[in-house]
Amino acid sequence: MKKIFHGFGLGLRKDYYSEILATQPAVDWFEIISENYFVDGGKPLYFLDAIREQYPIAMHGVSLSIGSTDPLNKHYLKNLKSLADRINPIFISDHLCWTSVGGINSHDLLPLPYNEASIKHIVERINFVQDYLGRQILLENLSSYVSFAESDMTEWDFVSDVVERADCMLLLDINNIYVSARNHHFDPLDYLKGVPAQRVMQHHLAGHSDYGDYIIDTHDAPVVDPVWQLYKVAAELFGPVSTMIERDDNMPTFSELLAELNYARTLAEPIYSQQQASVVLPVTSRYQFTSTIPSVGVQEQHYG
Amino acid sequence: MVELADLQKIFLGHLQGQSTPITNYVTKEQPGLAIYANAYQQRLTEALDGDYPCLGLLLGDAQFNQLISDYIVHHPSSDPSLRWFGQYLPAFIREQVHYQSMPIVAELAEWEWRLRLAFDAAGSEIAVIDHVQQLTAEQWPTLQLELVPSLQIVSWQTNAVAVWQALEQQQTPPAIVEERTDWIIWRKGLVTNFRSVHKDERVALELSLQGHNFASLCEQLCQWHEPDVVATRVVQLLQQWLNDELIRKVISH
Ligand SMILES: [Fe+2]
Repeated sequence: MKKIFHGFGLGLRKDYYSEILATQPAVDWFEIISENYFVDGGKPLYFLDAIREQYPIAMHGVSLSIGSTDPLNKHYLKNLKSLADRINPIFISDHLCWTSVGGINSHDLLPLPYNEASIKHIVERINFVQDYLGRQILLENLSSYVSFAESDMTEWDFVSDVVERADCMLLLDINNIYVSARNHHFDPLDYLKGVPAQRVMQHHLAGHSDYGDYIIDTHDAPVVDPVWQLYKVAAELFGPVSTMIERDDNMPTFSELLAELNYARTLAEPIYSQQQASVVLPVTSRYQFTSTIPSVGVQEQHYG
Repeated sequence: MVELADLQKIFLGHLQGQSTPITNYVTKEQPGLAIYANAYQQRLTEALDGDYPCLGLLLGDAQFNQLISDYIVHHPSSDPSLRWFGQYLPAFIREQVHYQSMPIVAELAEWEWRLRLAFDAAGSEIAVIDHVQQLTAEQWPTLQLELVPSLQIVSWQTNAVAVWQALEQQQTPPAIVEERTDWIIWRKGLVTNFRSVHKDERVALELSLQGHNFASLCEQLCQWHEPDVVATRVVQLLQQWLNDELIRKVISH
């Protein structure tokens, strides 16, 4: 998968269905929670189809359970594939975690020990999923609240090894890095510098609940300033990366979310333009001075 | 060294409130383990709150919370989608000795669940009156109806629906009484509909679902109607169903 920049998106939540259709806001794409559309009909699929006619859609799952020791759920994969066939998504993503074991779903994103055994286990399963879907998937880093005694590497080394060896892409959630850095006392900059830039395909930004000694990833508040600062560093390190804001609780008006998204644009776009300007032209290209020079790997952009 | 499979089972056991050796396997116990255990309970509780809002009002917080925490223990989520987590609650209520003398509790729960089912059931094409108007006299007896996939037919022993309606509108519910009632639930376009049906309509719908034709419906409805008017009654039902968008397809031979 080439690294494609799709611009700035928002999570598609039912609170905003009608407003999106009525006002056609300037959002480049929307991300859905895939499982919410594993249904036969009615409002969810009606609005999804209508919004899909006007916007690219990314599919983000929460129950793939790629790190589980249960067999992969074939019925789940079938649902995922038929939804992908229906909406032709720009991305299919889930989390680098496990959610179920013994046939029981926790409906939570649970961490794994960071070691070779986990990596080997997950890489095999990602290969299976990517073969089944016929495309690469993106996996997202978690917010986590415990560390396992069995871990023998940093989270970013673990994440990097998994995505490199499975040849999948990375959905880097900047807020999750911040949350985990505070909970586990590491430097978030080490994390950003420690992951393979060419595999960073998408960013999530979100708010959280800060209890001082620890932070919980609640997606119920605006993005905080330290996370914006990290996002700028990410823009420097990774170049143009499709970015969206996740909001799942304490829902604001759509225009507030849009304003927050536009803030992300104002932070990232100047950095991206500078990167484009600094691309050195090879001698043979001297007649192309007036054309736009895309930065390396950027294939496509959607604005407006 | 613990196998990943064992670690995951221990961790899940911890989430479910079991006593496990999980603290042997984490380096920082608190508050992380508690955060996960709380989140597990909270997420499942919220799903049931969302699926059964009026059941919660009927039972009151204390009883409802007890019911759902028991349910979470006995029916851990077996589906990757939270959408289906609450599906066994009506049956679970029926199994509880405590609720066996209060049939309205299970009926109201099942009512709420069935409304959810209609909400995202499959859509379909809808038959229109023209399909019927074109029929010749010879075609009527063998006429068959295919009904929409969202249709559900239910019978209650209590005034569960009247109580549900009042609770839903945040009004004082009527006294709970035993009352045999028949209902249909279906989706018209994107909107969930329900209405009560007379016994003969209920039977006519059930027969149609089983593939019986117009002649057979007339024969069966003679239980309630004189032979000379029964065809008129069935045609009247047919018109009502067309208006309600209950008929997917009219099959004529
Ligand atoms: Fe995220």
